[in-house]
Amino acid sequence: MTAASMALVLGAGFEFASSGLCVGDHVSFDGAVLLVAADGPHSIAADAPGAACYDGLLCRVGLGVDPSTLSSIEGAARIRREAMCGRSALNSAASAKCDALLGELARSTARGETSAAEQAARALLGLGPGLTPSGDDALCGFMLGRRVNGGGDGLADRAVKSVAFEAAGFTSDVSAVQLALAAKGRFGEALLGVATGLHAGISLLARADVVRCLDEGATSGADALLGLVAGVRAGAQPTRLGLDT
Amino acid sequence: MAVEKRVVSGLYRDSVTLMQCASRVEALPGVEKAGAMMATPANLDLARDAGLLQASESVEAGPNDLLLLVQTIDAADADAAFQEAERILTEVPKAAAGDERAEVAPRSIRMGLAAKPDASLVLVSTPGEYAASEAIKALHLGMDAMVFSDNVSVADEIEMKRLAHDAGLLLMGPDCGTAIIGGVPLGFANVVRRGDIGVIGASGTGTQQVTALIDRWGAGVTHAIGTGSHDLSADVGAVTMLDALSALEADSETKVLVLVSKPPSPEVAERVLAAASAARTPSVVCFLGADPASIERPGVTAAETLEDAAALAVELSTGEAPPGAADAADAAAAKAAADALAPSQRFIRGLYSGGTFGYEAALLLSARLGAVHSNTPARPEDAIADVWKSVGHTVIDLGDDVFTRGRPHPMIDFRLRVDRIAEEAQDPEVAVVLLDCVLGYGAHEDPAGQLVPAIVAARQSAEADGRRIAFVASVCGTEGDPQGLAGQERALRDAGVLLGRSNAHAARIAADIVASHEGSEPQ
Repeated sequence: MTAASMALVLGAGFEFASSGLCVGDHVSFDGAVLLVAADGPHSIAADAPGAACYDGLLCRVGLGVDPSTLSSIEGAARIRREAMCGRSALNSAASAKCDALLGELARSTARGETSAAEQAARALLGLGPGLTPSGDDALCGFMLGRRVNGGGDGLADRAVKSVAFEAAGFTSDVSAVQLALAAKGRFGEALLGVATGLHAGISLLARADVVRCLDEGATSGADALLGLVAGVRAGAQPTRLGLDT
Repeated sequence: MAVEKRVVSGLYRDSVTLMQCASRVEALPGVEKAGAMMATPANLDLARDAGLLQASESVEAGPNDLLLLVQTIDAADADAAFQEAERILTEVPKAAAGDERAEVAPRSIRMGLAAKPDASLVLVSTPGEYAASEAIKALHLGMDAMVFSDNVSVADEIEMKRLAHDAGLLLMGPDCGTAIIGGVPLGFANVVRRGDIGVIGASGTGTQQVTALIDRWGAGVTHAIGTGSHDLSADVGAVTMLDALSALEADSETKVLVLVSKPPSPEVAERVLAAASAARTPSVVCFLGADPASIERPGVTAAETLEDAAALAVELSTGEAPPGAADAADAAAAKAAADALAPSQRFIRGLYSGGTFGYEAALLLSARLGAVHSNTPARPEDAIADVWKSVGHTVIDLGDDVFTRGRPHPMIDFRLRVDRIAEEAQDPEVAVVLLDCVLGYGAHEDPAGQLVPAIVAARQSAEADGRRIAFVASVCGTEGDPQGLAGQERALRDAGVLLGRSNAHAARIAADIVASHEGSEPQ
């Protein structure tokens, strides 16, 4: 195995025959992140330069997400949200407030400003239209987005997660459950698909899941994508990666 | 101006309903603003900010209650607005209208895999833009993939195939219309008996022809693997054909291999032929239009036509050559058809639903008769100027994109071909109308039943003008196909159609008729 960088291997017990890697191992990898989920009996070539493993499959992966991919996801999500919100003044006001709070959340978590991050996250709870209000969906997406670029583990992020974990009373029960799951690293399949596609650097992998996400609820999927994009953009230098599948 | 609020408790509606409710109520006459939101603390603040609640106004509602707010010019309009809101909210969702819960179809590959954990292959048929995404997911889940979709970029194809190759998986396609895996027909495919011949095809109808003839001659197929139509291009480099070759070479049941394609780029051809020659399993290679001498090498036998490929494979499999053509009977039938032609009738018009059939016919006819104008021409200089108008000898692939935009493929929808048959019958220079008739899954349930009335009408129309047009066709299918080979052939034969056992055979009969009419001896 080549020079150490960083990686966290996740998933159920699974052994890579050729490398001796087990799920859960921290492994060394040259200039790239290794993510191993539990799927598929694939061997990996751990000395491939600039490569990483996605779902057990070796991919060409660099760190960092293509900004144009993020922009196109954001654009699609905004179009969907505007189409669903119609001309409703209240919905528009909710969207604007949600965007402002998401911006504040991104700024404060990226800077490690725990108190400001906690405040922004709390203000998002229960905000906006929908059975799972827009702010909650965005917060879920944000927590996932922070993990894509290797963030999601600092003090500010932990504060955000605690807010999400204790959302009951601030939002509908359905939404509070979803937030608690997100805080524990559990996300919907489509949103997780977008995140893993972005992480693996295979933007085309994310395409179908973006569409699937946008079809979730009225604006739930779109709000979650906007949160995800904000979270990815707010990603610090990677320190650790973890996606629970 | 008045603002009214109403709280609805214990009612859960999805976000789509809630947002439609707000939009539709706001569109009512007299309504200035409307809101339908969960009564969370954040939303109550929002409503206060928007002037829909007074700053000091308390609301007896919690985050699980729905808060309806309307601002109207006239207080009387508020009642109508709330009535409309409640009507929308209490509408029974369509999906829940029935007593029984509908079974939810899997919406993702993972969901499908959860329902069928032993699945090992994913068939992807989505708009081209999304096909690679789904195929890569299948590969990540350790499954082979067949990508039926076309309009997938070359870059996506290369990426998918590289991932599949690295993972030791098979990526069939994109634009892979035909495969038979372990006896299961996928896409446009025929029901063929199991046997020991493995087929790898870059062409869907080419694979159908070879597998159907193998079945007709009593042999069988282990697997027929489609590579997709671009696999043997220089860019893609035959990744799938080479991987399929390795897979079938490793398959203990496969004793003979057949490779089918239009001619690849020379370097790709060389790579494929070198691999075929190095394999222990003998191969028959049909690169339609390629010089057989460039293909032949140890362990590799060249086939000029799809029929030859099937025949050689059957011979390698069973040790016996399949029964050849009844040449004398063909010659007599061709002579009789030629004798019935008027002096003006000189040309063949091939109207095809299978692109490779059209190409093969164009190759064979042009070798015998000179230029054959086509949208799938044997030589680039014979490309037809206007696909909608035949000229001289013409072969048209009606499955070409230009014909299928906005309508189903001609193997399913015969309207275009029926119209074109009628049109050709009006042309006093037409001697032969040459057709293919493709059976199997994916094809029309009764192709002959679609063609026969058109043929009868066209013949009557020509006869009214003192001409007798020869109709020549081949049926690509098996007795096991849903349509049944014998019944389809009988229907065409009863309509006076001369039938070839293969597309190549039919093309040769057509050429014989025209050559005989011109005074040349049929070859």
